[in-house]
Amino acid sequence: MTIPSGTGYRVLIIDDNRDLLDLITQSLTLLGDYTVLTADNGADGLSLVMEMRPDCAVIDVKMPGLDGYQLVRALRGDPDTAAIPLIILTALTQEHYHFAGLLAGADRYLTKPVTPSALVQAIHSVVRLSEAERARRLQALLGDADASS
Amino acid sequence: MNAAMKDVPFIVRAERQIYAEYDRDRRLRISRIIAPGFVSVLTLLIVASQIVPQQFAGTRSNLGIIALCDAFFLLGAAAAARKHVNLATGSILLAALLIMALSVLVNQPFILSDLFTVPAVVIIGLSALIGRPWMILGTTALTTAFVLFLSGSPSLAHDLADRNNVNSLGAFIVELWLLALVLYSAARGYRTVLRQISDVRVQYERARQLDELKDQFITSVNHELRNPVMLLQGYVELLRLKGSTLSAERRDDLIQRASRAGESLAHLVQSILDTRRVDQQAKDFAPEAVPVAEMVMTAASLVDPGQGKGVERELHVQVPHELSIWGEKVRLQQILTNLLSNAIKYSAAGTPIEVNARVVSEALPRSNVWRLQRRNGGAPRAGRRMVEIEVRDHGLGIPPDQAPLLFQRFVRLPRDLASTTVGNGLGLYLCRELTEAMGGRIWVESTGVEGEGSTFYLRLPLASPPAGAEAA
Repeated sequence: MTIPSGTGYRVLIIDDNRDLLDLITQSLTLLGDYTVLTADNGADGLSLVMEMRPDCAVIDVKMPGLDGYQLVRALRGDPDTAAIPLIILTALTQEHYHFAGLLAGADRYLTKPVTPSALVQAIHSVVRLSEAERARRLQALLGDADASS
Repeated sequence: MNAAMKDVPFIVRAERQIYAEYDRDRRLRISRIIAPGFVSVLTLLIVASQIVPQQFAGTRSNLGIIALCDAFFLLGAAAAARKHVNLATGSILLAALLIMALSVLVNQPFILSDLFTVPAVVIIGLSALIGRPWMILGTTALTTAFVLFLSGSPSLAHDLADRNNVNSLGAFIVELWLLALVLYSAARGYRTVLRQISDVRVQYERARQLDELKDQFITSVNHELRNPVMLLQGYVELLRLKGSTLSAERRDDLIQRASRAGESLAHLVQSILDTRRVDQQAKDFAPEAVPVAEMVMTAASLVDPGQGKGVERELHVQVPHELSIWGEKVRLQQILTNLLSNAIKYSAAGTPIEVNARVVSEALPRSNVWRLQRRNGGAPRAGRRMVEIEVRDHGLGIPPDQAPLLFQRFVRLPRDLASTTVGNGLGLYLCRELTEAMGGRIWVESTGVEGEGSTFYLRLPLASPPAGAEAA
């Protein structure tokens, strides 16, 4: 399996579980050569995104204060951060959570456990996703939501 | 009820209470229509008799009784408005009896006229509608006594000298009692049907709640298992892919992290299995004298430091060194570890935790919080010496109406489910099972006010009376 190199990419990881932050940091630096930033709550994560403009953000859902969905909606709502690729990484496996995450604006919804290599692959793919493609996928998702309602 | 259902948290009130409330509401609804209606009519009658006395001569001559009836109906209306159902229905029935008496006084000597018969039947019917079943028999007995009293009246003697009239009197009383017994049976039958319906409702509600709790538990355990699994899996994959390129120190670090993740996973699985094992091993009890102070300090050392959010917590322990309980060391340690762990998890970083212990006599503590009965029998023997251990925190507190739920399996408070605080709803259930297996009790007291925290009480049999350690 070839793990793509992330040389030059900065990835922000936002999760209140410090052990997971350590694991993901080590994974991205060892496997993808990414530069990793971390935050252990939604508010700090939002500030870091505004300040550092990472190339991608990996966001947990259940966090104190600002949760993952709120953070994603906030980032998508700001023109300065709307284009940043966002991945939700969470233990919430039910379908309605999955749908809510994508509807909030996330590019990928990953459920734990995720291996380091799979995470690196996911980050690599969303970073390369064009803005136009993101808009097309969101439109398709909204169309599915209207059809099912 | 199915005995297996008894552990299901019962948020909906008990079966008898559901039925009683339904019946009370029905009686109140009817009373609220009848009483104000009669108050209006009688008040108008009284006012009219004052304004146009010639047209209401009969009313004026019986004004006292009419006013008394009005007062009883008014009392009934007021009681119904304030939801005092027995006072409301009792007042209405008394007023109805007075109206019946009035009709007799007005229509003497026609004791068996329709103007007496109709009120008598109406009163008995009314008591069936708004009263308790015994009220039907009560009003019938009062009516019968009233009729028999009147039958002794000298003014009626010539009527009753007629044999036909005596027979009519007897037939009237028999018919009255037949009617009363039919209505009484119907009322009792109605209550039985209501009770059976509420039984079914309660069983359905319990089954639904158990289903909901199991879903919550599975969601909670599912969520908590995934993090340690990801850690374990992640570090193993890193070692597999990059182990050969890493320094020995880095490799060791990754191996240790993987090992910790594995231990965390094992601990979680163990706590789930423990609940089943406690149920099965409740009878395998080998008690001994267990020093409380030593167990408290051991439990404190076993609590996961991570639960304190990286901030040191003060633990204030006031436990006499010689104080011992009669129980099992491992069980007591597990209970105390759970209680201390919860105290840390559900209180703000930096707030102290207090543990106290003393000897008490087995008097039930005055508390508004639900107390659990011991597994091994009913109430404890009066006068037994027990050790009471308190674990107090200054955290979020527990809403008093939700406190009874905490010691049930799988239950977590709605507030905690919505938060990021991890938990599987088994810790306090385990504490309860272990406590009861040792012949003790566990309960919690809390105002529910954030910052005032909660105090968990644990009572276990005293091993031996310590010197100078008794409570006042």
